[in-house]
Amino acid sequence: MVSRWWPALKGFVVVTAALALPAAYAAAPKTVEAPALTTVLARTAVGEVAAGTTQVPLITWGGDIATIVANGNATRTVRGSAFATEGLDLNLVREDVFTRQVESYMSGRSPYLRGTLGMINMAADLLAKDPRTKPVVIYQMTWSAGGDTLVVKQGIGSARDLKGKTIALQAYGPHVDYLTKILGDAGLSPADVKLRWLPDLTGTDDTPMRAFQQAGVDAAFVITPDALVLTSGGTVGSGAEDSVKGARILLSTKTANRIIADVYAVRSDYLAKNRKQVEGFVHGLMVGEEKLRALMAAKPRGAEFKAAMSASATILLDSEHGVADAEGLYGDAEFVGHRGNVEFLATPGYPRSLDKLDAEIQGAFASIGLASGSAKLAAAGWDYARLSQGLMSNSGAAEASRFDQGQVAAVVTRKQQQGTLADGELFSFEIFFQPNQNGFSADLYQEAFAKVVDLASTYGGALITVEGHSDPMAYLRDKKAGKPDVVLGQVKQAAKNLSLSRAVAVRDSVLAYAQAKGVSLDASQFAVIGHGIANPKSGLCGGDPCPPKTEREWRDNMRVQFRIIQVEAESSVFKPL
Amino acid sequence: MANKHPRRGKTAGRFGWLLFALLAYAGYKHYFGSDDKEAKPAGAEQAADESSGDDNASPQGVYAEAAVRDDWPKLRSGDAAAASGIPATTSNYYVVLDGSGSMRRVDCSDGQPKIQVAVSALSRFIEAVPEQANLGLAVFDDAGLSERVALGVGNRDAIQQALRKVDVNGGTPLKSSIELAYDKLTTQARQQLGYGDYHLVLVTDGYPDPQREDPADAVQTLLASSPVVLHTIGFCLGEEHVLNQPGRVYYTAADSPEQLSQGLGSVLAEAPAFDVGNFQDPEAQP
Repeated sequence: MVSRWWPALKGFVVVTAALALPAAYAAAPKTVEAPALTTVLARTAVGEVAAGTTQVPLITWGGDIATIVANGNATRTVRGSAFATEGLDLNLVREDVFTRQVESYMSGRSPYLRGTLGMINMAADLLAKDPRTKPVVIYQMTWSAGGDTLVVKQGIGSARDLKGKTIALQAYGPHVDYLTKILGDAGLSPADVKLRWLPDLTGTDDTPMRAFQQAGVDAAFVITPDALVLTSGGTVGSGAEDSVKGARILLSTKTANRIIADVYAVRSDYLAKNRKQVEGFVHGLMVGEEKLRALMAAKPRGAEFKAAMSASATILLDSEHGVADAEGLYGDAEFVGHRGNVEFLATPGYPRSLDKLDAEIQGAFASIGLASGSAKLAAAGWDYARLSQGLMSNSGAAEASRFDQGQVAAVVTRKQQQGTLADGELFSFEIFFQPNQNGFSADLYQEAFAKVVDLASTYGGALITVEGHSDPMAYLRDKKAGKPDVVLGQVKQAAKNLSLSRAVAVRDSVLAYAQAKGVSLDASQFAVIGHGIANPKSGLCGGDPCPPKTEREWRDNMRVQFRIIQVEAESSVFKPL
Repeated sequence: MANKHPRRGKTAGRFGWLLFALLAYAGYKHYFGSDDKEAKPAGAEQAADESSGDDNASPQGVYAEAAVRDDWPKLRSGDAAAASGIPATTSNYYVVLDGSGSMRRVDCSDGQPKIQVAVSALSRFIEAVPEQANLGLAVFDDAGLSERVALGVGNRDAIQQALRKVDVNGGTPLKSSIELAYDKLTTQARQQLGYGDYHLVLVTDGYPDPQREDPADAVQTLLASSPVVLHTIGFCLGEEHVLNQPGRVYYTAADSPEQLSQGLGSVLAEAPAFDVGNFQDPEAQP
């Protein structure tokens, strides 16, 4: 395995890819088995945490830049830095091979684990065997927001099309829970697909990217630079220059921006004995994140910014000149700050909380033999009021609307007119209503609304269309009765308006439902559409909706459809940052 | 003065020589222009050009009859709905008033000039249009054809004032005026993403003048491409007007001031409010 995420290889990957043999002639990459870590590291002994300078692991990820800043732009804590202010003396050590990190953690060389929540869940059973090493999650750094991508070959139009397909991904890497979440949301399980595990994430011949270039692999989870190579720059792969003909991006973490959480966990014994120091570490991370945010926002950027990026490039990318790549790392991560930590670790109703993700991941990992399904990660239970002291914005900014609603409405209507709404579809489902039903209260649609809230929270970069459909019977009755065109036209238009009204009512009910549950959804993520009688469930007979033959068919026309759409290429719909 | 041709269909059948003369006269006007001041303004030409563009590229069939067609207006990149993202379902009424020279006449208007009767009836109509509906006005008169007040709400006083300023004279550019109004309604529909309802209300006492202003193609384009409802109030025209296309458009022959007011009143009555029950009648079960 190599890095968690290595955009520094952007240039390297593109150049070497261009120079490499054509994909069809490349040797097949080495695949591996992925047994549970309880098997892989069964003989690793547990030791006491070493005294003295505390070793803290880093991985190659944008979130870790804040850790470096908090440490004074050095691997060893610098006087006057945020960590020094907390009374800490740390030694930052990059370790991208997760199994080695776990070994260090168990042996006591470091009390900390650094990984995605999925990675830490993979180790949870092993680490829970000894109460000393049971991991406690102390801090969320970021959400992945653009750096991790699912590429697919021709014939896979939505997530449910993955059924029966072969998918390549890195063993014990950051994409395992990404995979299982997407499958779950599409109504599939890991048993519905064939998994091909690769030892490395990127940069070698044994990666998901190389596997995807072989026949027999239909989809792969890769880092975004690799995805751009495979898809000819994020379009559709031409087959030239290491791209795969017909390949495209199904979605990235720009869309699925609440799946991959990067966190720190600590050993239980160390936390019990050193709670104040661990709290100081968490507070230092928060201060470092604020400082980094300010450095990135400053214009012009000064010497302090250059020092931070140069140190990060050296520590994370082995090159002090990789400043641009370090900035790229930063851009693919969304820092959550104090507010995000409160949501993630201390808000039970938050739809993407530690507990929620933990349950999802454990259940899914159990089905592929990576976890028992019963291990549960604990949160540190910090006093977040105390942790907010000394921060510039102790509550964090409320999430702003991500989408330009006027543009969104126009874009989805244009797609509707062109019949291309399904092109970017990731998931969809419907609710039905009764004759003469005006209201859409949450009491009637609890399960469906909860699903919408979950999907909206998980795929924050996707649009959710709420599409109303009307019963065509009134139109068909009038047509059969010989009503003139001018009347039929008005009936048709009124049906369109009515279906829009229904879609708006449903959208409003979903937002109210979420609010009642204490979840703040971004209203701009929802687009409403009224199809009128243009898309009857009963099908088309000639140019008209088919008259329903059964009561079931008749009722099926009265529906509202939810569709989760990937719109990463529609830059106009996103509000400028 | 405009050249009116009442009941052209019948006269053509019975007086072939007269038809020949009229056609010859129309040809003369086409090539040498009219003595009436009926030149189309630039805006109308542009509207005509846009109306015949890609947006209306399928002038065959009838939009209303194609139950599953839902492609009006064709949206362009850059079109955007209201900032709220909720498209408006506002009703829209675009009125076109004939201010041609013949509107000076006093036939079938109780001795008053027809324009006076029409303005009076339209004033009452405007008051009856729901205040939340968009209303706009175009006129063809001595100043040519142009939009006098753009579609909007809160513009009723401006429309009343514009009506009082109509200066009768000139021809009857029915085609251009329908194209202009259709263009304005289409533009508004882009803002509403096609939701709402759209009505073109034409009050005229004449036949197309010059002949190239025959509105048949413009009406066909409108009917084939959109859900816009065309209402024509034929003032002192009887039933046999080119715009009287039963079943396809609403046409009211108004032969008195009272009938003119009733005809305008029916425009609002002909835009029925549908509720959920219209579409979900349990008795509609198969």
